[in-house]
Amino acid sequence: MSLIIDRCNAMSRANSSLNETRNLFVGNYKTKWIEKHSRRMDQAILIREKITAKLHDKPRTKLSELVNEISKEGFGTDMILREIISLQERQMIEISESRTCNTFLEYLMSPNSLWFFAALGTTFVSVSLLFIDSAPLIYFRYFFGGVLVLFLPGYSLMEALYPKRSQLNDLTRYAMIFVLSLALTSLMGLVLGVSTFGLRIFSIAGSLSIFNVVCLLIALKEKYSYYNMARSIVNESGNY
Amino acid sequence: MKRSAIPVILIGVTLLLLVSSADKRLVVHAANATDFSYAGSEIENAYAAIYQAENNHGNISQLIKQLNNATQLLNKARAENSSNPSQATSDLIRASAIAEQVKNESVLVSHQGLTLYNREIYESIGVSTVVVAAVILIHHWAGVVGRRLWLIIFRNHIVVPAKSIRNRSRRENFLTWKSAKLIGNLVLIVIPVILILTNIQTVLSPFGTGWQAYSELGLLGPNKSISDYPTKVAVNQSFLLYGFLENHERTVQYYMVVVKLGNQSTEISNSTYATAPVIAEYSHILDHNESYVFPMSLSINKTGTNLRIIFELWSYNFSSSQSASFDYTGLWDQIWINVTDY
Repeated sequence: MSLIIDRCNAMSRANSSLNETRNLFVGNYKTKWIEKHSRRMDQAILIREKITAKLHDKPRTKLSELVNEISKEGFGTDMILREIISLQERQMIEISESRTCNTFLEYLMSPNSLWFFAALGTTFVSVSLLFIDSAPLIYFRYFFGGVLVLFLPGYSLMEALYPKRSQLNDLTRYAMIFVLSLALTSLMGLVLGVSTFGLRIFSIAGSLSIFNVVCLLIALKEKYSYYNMARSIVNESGNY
Repeated sequence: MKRSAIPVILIGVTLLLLVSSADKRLVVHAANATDFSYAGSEIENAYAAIYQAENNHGNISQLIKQLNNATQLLNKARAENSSNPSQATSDLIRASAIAEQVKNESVLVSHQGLTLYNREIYESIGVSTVVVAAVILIHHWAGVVGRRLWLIIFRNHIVVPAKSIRNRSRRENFLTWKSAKLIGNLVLIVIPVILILTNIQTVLSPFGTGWQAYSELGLLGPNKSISDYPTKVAVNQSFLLYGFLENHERTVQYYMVVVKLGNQSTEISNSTYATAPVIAEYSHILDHNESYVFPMSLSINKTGTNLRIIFELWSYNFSSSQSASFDYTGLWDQIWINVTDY
């Protein structure tokens, strides 16, 4: 009996020392984490106040100017950008073009068409990488092949069908992109299988690329129409 | 006169001896069961070596091609033994030599396969680790880099307090930070997962064994289609059929199609092979997912009505019994035929 009691006491001592050690480490870590994040939050609040003050003094400020001015006060550029984006997402500030695009070419060369060139470039890179069949570039081929099959067909179709961002919320849009990509690739495979081209790697990549480019061009045209419409409404209402 | 005749007689006797010994060398008997058995066992040994090389992940396609040359010679010898025995014997010798060569080459292929497989495994683990590390790094740094890029792209844009905005429709056209982040996260999760799974498929190869393993045996008519099968032939008249084999057993297979002549009372099922006289045998080695169409020139040497030509598929099995042998796969085909005198 006394042996059992001794063992229980020993176990209890061991447990309590273990807890003390754990509290020492975890406790220290927790304190450091809280301190770090509270410092960051204080900084964030300060930056937001600075942004609001700057915009109060000068309501139409260039983004680069705003970042430069606040960074001169000793804040990191990344922290400032983080807060500007956060304020934009909360719709407390608005970031808009300095001058509107009057022609399609201007629109094409503006950041408005960035998505188009990104998607077109990815399609081009994916197809170009098909000619690579040895390491280490083969892994890039795998990655871009995955993007070409699992993302781009759905993305280009969704952009063509729903060019306005507000037509669908982001989560639905990107869930649909993946599902549509899988469905479209399978359907294309089915059609190619019975066609004269056959189910080959280049026929699949070629048909997917053509489909992407066509859908992206339709989407670009649709987006430009919406942009034009918005521009004319703004012009009529006298803003900008 | 007598002196000069002696060398002539000696030369004549030598020539006679040479001719008679040469004749003895040229006389070739019909290949017997032992010759066939020897060539057959040489091919089986070579097949066993190929099977082992495949298990060690060696590239055996060239070896299969070579060994099939030997099986073709064996098939040819079986067909021509009665009509051209010397050619049959010669074919069997060539088949044995090819099989021996394949057996020796298999050892090297097996060793190379094992080395390559080990390298692939290390490469897969290395690449997967790099991908995971890259994903962690991208996840950590993508925000910082992305925000800098965002600043470069939109540096000339105007920042205004929200209360002064009357029309928000222009925002539609911009790729917002939120959606860019969502795309990035999705691509960063889905694509690397697929990349890693594809890359480590060699390590995860046991998952592939879940598929149903099977073989296919088909019988085609003289036009290589499933029509125009003969229903009536004359005795000893040769007629053409085509056999079709396909291997989905996940390993290389050594098949033998055994052609038997049965009648209405011959019993055959998926578990019991027919007890009937064999009229032909065709051997072939097929790698996984390969198919083979081969001609079968058959003839029947007795008359009868409602006869059955039964085609059974046998495959060489290492694990069925203590000694490896051909086992009945349970696959069989048949055609009904009447054999007449004319």
